[in-house]
Formats: sequence, C-alpha cells, structure tokens
Amino acid sequence: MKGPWYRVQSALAAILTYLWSGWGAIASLLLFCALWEWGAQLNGPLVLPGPQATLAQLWHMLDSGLAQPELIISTRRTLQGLGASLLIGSALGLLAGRSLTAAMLSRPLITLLLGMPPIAWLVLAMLWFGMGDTTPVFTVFIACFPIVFAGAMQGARTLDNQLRRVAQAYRLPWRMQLTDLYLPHVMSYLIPAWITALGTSWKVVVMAELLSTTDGVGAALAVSRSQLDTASSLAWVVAVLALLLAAEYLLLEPLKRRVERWRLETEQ
Amino acid sequence: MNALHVRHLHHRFGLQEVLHDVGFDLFAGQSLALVGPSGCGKSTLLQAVAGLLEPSRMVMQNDFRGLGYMFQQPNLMPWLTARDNLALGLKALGVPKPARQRQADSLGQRLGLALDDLDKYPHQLSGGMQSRISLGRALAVSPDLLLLDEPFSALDVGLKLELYALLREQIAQRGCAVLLITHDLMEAVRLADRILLMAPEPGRVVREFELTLPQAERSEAWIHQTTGQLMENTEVRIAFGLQAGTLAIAESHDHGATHTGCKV
Amino acid sequence: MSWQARLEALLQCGYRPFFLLSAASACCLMLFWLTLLNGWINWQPPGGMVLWHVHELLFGFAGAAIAGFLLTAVPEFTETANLPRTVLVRLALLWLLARVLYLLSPFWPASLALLPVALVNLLFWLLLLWHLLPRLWQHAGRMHLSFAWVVASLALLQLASLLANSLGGDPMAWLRAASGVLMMLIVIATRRISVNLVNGLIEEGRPGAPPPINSYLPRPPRSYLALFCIGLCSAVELWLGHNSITGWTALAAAAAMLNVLNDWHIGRALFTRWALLLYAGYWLIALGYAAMGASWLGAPLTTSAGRHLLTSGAAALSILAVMAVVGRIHAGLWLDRRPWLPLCALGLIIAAVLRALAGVPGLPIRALFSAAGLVWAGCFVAYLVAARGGLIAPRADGKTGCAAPLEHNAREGGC
Repeated sequence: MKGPWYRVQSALAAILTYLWSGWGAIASLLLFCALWEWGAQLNGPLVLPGPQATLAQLWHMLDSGLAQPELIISTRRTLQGLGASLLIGSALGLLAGRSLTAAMLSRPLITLLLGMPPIAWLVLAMLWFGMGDTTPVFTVFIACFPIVFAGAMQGARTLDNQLRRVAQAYRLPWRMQLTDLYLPHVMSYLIPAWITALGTSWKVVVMAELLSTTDGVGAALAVSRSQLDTASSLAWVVAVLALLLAAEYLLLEPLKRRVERWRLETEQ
Repeated sequence: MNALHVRHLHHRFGLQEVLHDVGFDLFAGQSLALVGPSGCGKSTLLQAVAGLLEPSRMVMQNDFRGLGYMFQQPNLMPWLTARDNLALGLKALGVPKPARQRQADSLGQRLGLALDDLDKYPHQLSGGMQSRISLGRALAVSPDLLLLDEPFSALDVGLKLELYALLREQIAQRGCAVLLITHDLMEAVRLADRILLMAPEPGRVVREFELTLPQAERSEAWIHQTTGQLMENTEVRIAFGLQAGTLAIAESHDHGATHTGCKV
Repeated sequence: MSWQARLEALLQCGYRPFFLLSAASACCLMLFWLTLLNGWINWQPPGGMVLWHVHELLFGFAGAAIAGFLLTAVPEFTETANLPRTVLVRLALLWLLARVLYLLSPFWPASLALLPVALVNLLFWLLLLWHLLPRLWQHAGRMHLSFAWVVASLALLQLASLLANSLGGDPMAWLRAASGVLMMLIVIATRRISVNLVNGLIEEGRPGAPPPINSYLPRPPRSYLALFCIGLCSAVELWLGHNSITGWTALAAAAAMLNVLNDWHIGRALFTRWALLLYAGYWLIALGYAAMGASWLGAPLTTSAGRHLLTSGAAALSILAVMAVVGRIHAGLWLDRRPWLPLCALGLIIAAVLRALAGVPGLPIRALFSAAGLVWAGCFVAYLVAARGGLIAPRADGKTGCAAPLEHNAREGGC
C-alpha cells in the first residue's frame, strides 16, 4: 500500500516539476525584455525606460512602502468584482445550460454584453454609483460576468447524452451525478473562462480606477502620468502584470491541471 | 423464477412509429437476442426496458433487481480512471471505497487488464481495453439482467471472439439473464438461447427461433452452419432487405399465438 | 607492438585519431597557454596570444573532438560505410598542419598575418564536409543535416575571425559567436546520444546490464527553444557586443537551458554517471549564460567568467563524455565503470568554476588561472592514460572498424 510519506514525496515532486516547467515561460519573458530594452535604447529613457530602470523603480516603490497599499486596494476590488461574477455567472450559466429555452433566450443577451465596451459600463457606473469603491467593483463584475456565464452555459449544454444515459442506467444518485458527471465536464469549460475573466478583471479595474477613484493602482497611474513619470507608470504596469501572472500560473493553472489531468497525454 | 415480461410496447418519435406492439418474455438464466437491421428500433426497445426512455405505451413486469448495461460505445467517463469506471455502478450502490476498488482490481484482472492499466484514463487505453472496461462495469454490479446494446459491432474479429468468450464465461458463472440486441445474426447464434427477429418500419417482432444446443457445445462449424440456415429463411431475408416482399403487421397480437417457435 | 600495427589500429575508426589529437592538444595547448600567461616564454603571434588561445581551444581541441564524433556518428546515423583510412590521414595531417602553422606564424612576414592558418583550417572543414555532406543529404528525411549546418557555420566564423585579424576588425567577436555555435552543437549532439545512454539502450546486450527503460524522452520544442535563444544571443552579441540587450538574450538562453532540464528530471534513472555527465553539461551551459547575462546587465563580474563556464566547463565536459562513451562502444568495449571518469568530470567542473571565479574582482587571478589550467589539462592526461586502449590498440574482439560490442550487434540482427 502507498503510505503517507510516499504521497508527500510525490506531491512535492509534482510541485517541483510544475515550478521547473516554468523556465520555458521565463525564457519567453526574458526574450521580451530584450525586445523592450531594444525599444528603450532606440527611444531613450524619457519615452520608454528599459526593463532594468523599470524594475529598479518598482523596487524603490516597494521599498519605500508606496506601492503596497495601492496594490492591496486594487487587488481587493478585483477580487470582489471577479468573485461575484465567478459565483453568479457560473451558477446562472449552468442553470441556463440545462434548459434549451433559457439558452436560446440568453445567447443574444450574452453577445450584447460581451460586445459592450467596458468603458461604457464605467461611464454608467460613475453616473449610478459616483466616484467611490462601488464603481470599479461593479465595472469588473459586469465586464467578467458574460465571459463566465457563456463558459458555464456552454459547459452545461455540451454534456454528452451518452454519458448521461450511463449515469441513468447505473442509477447514479444525484450527488454522484454531480461529482462524477456534471462537475468534471463543466469544469473543463469553466476554468478557461475563469482565466479569461481574471485577465479582463485586472485590465478593467485599472481603467476604472484611473477615471473614477483617488486610490488604487489606476489612480496612481493617473498621478504618474500627470507628472510625466514614465518609469513609475511602467513600474505600476509591471506590478499589475506580475500579480496577474502569479495568480494565473500559481493558482489557476495548477487548478486547471488538477481538474483536467484526465486530458493530459503525458501522465505517467 | 425471476422474469421480464414485456407486452404491447409501442413508441413514436414525433409522427414516426418506431416500435409497434412488441412483446417478449425473458426468464432468469436465459439469453435472448433481438436481431434486426439498423433502424428497426432495437436500441429504443432496450432503453425502454432499462428505463432510460419513456415509451408511448408499454406493459412491463420486471422482477430483476440488478441491471448491467453495455452500450454500443464504451461510454466511459473520461475523467475517471479505468478502475473508477469499473467501480462506477458499485459506487452508486454505496459500496465503500476500499471494497469497490478491490472488486474492480480483481474483475479487471479477470478481464485481462493489468493493474497499471487500471490507473490510466480512458483516452490512454486502446479501444479493446475500453470495451473490456465497459463489459467489466456492467458485470461489476453482479446483475441478474444484462442488457447488451450491440457492444461488439465496432470491434475487430479477434477482439470480438475474445470478448464473447469472456462474456460467456461470466454469464455461466453468474447465471444472469441476457438481453442482447444486434444486427449480426452470427453473434446472436453464438450467444443466444432464443432469437427474436425484428423488421423495420415500424419496428416489430416477426419471428422467433429457438436454439436448443447448450452454449458450451456450440462449435464454430455449428455456428456458421446455423447462421447460414437462418440466412436462407424467407422472413430473415425480407427483414434484412435481401429479398423483396412484405411481412404482415399484426393489428394487435397475442404473443406466443402468432409465432409458434421454430426449432433449429 | 609495432608502429605499423599501432597505426593500423589508430586508423580503423574515425574517432580514434581525432580523439587522440583532441585530448593531446587539450593538454599541450593549456600548458603552453599557462607558460605564456606567466611570461616564461615570449611568443607573439599576429593578433595576440589571447586570440591564439581562444582560436586553438575552439578549433584545435574542440574542432578535433567534433571531427572525431562526426566521422564516427555520421556513418552510424546514416547507415553508410566507414571513411577510408586515406581520408582520415589527410584530415589529421591538415589539422596538425593548421596547429603548427599558427605556432610558426610569428616567424613569417607580418604581411601574411594569419592567412595561411585560415587557408589550412578552411581546407580541413571543406574536406570534412566533402565526405560527410552527401551522406547527411541523402539520408532519409535529412534528419541529421543540422550537423552539416553547424560545421559550416563554425568554418565560416573561423574564416571571418582570421580574416578580420588581417583586414582590421575584431577577430574575437567572431570567435565568441563560434563558442555559441559550439553550445548549439552540444545541445544537438548530446540529445541524440542521451536517448540511448540515459535509457540504458546502449548497453542492452551487456551480460548483467539492467533492462532498458523508456522514461527519458527529449521533447524537441524544448531544445529548439534553447537553440533559438543561444543562436539569438550569439547574433545579438556579434551585432551589439557588450549591451544590456545581449544580457537579456543571454538570460533567456539560460532559462531555456534550464527548461530543457525538464526532460531530464525522471527520478532515479538520472543518477547514473552517464546521465549525470550530460546533465551537468547542460547545467554549466545554463549557468554560463546566466553569468554572462548578469555581466552584460551590469553585475560586477567579467563576461569571460561566464564564457569559461561554457567552454572550459560545458564544452570540455560534454567532449569528455562523448569521448568516453563513443571511444568505448565503437572499440567493441562496454562502457567504462572505473572511477577516473567521475573524478575527471568533477575536475573539469572544478576547473571551470575556478576559472569563472577569476572573473570576480578581488580574487587572486593568476593563482586561479594556473590552478584551473593545471586541473583541466590533468583531466585530459587522465583520459589519454585511461582510454588509450580504445584509441591506439586493436579491438579486443578481433574485429576491425567501428562496430559496437558483439551482443549489441546480435540484438540488431548483424552477423
């Protein structure tokens, strides 16, 4: 029998293997840095500071304690808006996918919502909620909701009828139908949608803050722009991108692999 | 004795009548094959019996408790390992995890699967192995009625013969009743005690054949010869469209009176 | 044994004369370099002695190893006949002539500069390609053609360097690019060897050998990414020299090499001396590029520190590994299990680290140079002593040529 020590060992090995596989992505990012540096050398540091100058500026901002509060505020807003859209979007999408009528009804609405530019939502939100916390949170929610909803609906719609028959023929109780049939299938649609929503949420929160609040990364970007401080602006961008990359590759991607391990070819 | 009795089974898809007044009996330990061309409503019939489909009209008395169902495709859950797929029905019955894994392991080995293979996901397994697991999944619940929906039609000859042997062995051990539907006469001759011939448009039973020779004594030569004889039967030829002609549609028939058994 | 018999043995397979020349030149070139560095001899070739040092170690030592490897591997990979002795003799003489001409270069008119050296070296590569290119080209799928591209680019970079010396350019820049191509060759060549080596296929026929495994499977996209990054780094360096753009590409090359190591993390099977030899070579390439990248981005260490992790570290280690494996299997012997090999590998790594440390400000440069050079040369002396049987002695199984040991052949259906 496989003991607990063996399990800990193989879990550690799996984590190490996963982290090590990140080198390919790092190589690609470093190549991008080379390109960035080239652009910086062509245009000069006033227009485009190079990666080193930007990282130094970011380090300085973190070191002086300037960056953390803003990052925390933006992260909180993102998580609130994103969390709400993940919960509500997934639940409603799954329900809509169960019924052909609901799917028919919601498809054009989703197209409409997806096509609506976030900046338009932002203007409406500013009119409705004013210049407070609610505006960015709402904008994030409404921008991510259709993505998650569409993914969930697609997942619920595409479940193989044959597998449903298997569940019926073997009299699977409803809890087992959920864990062994619906969730594993739906997850493979939900998680990519969640990842897309995560990317959207960060973009939208920074934009919303830039126009509607006095704190958060977006507001800080507005300040550095008004001071023509390109290095600080880039440093804020890098900080946001780093958070985004970390959230995707340390949280969602491992989750995706865990959920979709039955799809991977390279499982030993 | 446990038995399955079906009478007056009618079913319509929209305006089209798929099944017309089908009836049959199946007793414990017997195996019954429903043979007919594609589109004669065989699968619909099986789904009605299994409760996967609500027919337009049916009188059914079913004393069998445990049900094993083998589908046309393996239809394994792609996100479960082979072992968990084997044990799916056991899990539904509430068998605790260690016990059902043990049963799945021993069943898997009897079906010729290595322990390594049981850890794999379906997409990592060959078609033949998937079919074995599908058969194992049906047998795992120790059914007293096994429903087989043309499960071997997509397999190559060697694999078919191997799975026939496995199936026969398991049926002999467990003594369960088998309801097999197939378009392959030879398969029916190989596995069934009785054969019901079905004709399409609308799907109905036109003839019953009985095979008295015990399965263990059926040689390849006997199977080929018997299949050949059946193929020369006029009703069989008409049902499969090999010969022009019409088969009467009974207005409402009383099973057993219309077709007297024909011993082969 | 008579001289004729020794010569006969030496010329029966392509790797033999060239691995001998490679290991012998490694010792001689390094010891001569140390005497020059310490000022014990006054010898001033055209272009300076650093150019000589770099050029000869790249194209003398490594060049001979490459020739030996290709002359054995290409007939094997393309399933063609071994090269005739006369070709081996001609190639070896050209190689020797090139080395001697460089040594004599201070004694002829300065107007000639290094042109005779360039000419003979070019002839050497052309003759090599003349015999190998048709086989690589005609082989089904041309899957080993990359070897020809590597040899051709090495030859061109060498020519460019020596011409730059005469025509007024920076000859070192071209040699630096050549060291990048050498790294690419290591990635290409060791990938082919490692599948057989790590999975234990190479010794399948040896009585008592463990059964082969199939857990090591190199993924082409990973090594292609590494090759691309290394090539890009060399190209950018040739174009921009010491620049932070070059630095980022070098860091990318380091990360891409660490990414290749994903193929190698296969658990217990990695912990054999053969796997570890090649694995350590990959690590050294990664560390070398990381150090060079750091240097270009402004870290306080010289670029040559990182470069020596590549050349005296990764290249020398991979060459030792290839010589130790190819030089046994193609002499009809099973792999060498004696302790000299891991010790020498460790010696080469230590030498490379010592040489790299010399690039860190504040450390005793002279002492580190000398220690690194002596340890490094010592490793190749040890190779010559330990592996002489596979180079200059006739095959123990009474056969001639390059065939692998008997049992190995039997498995493949040979007679």
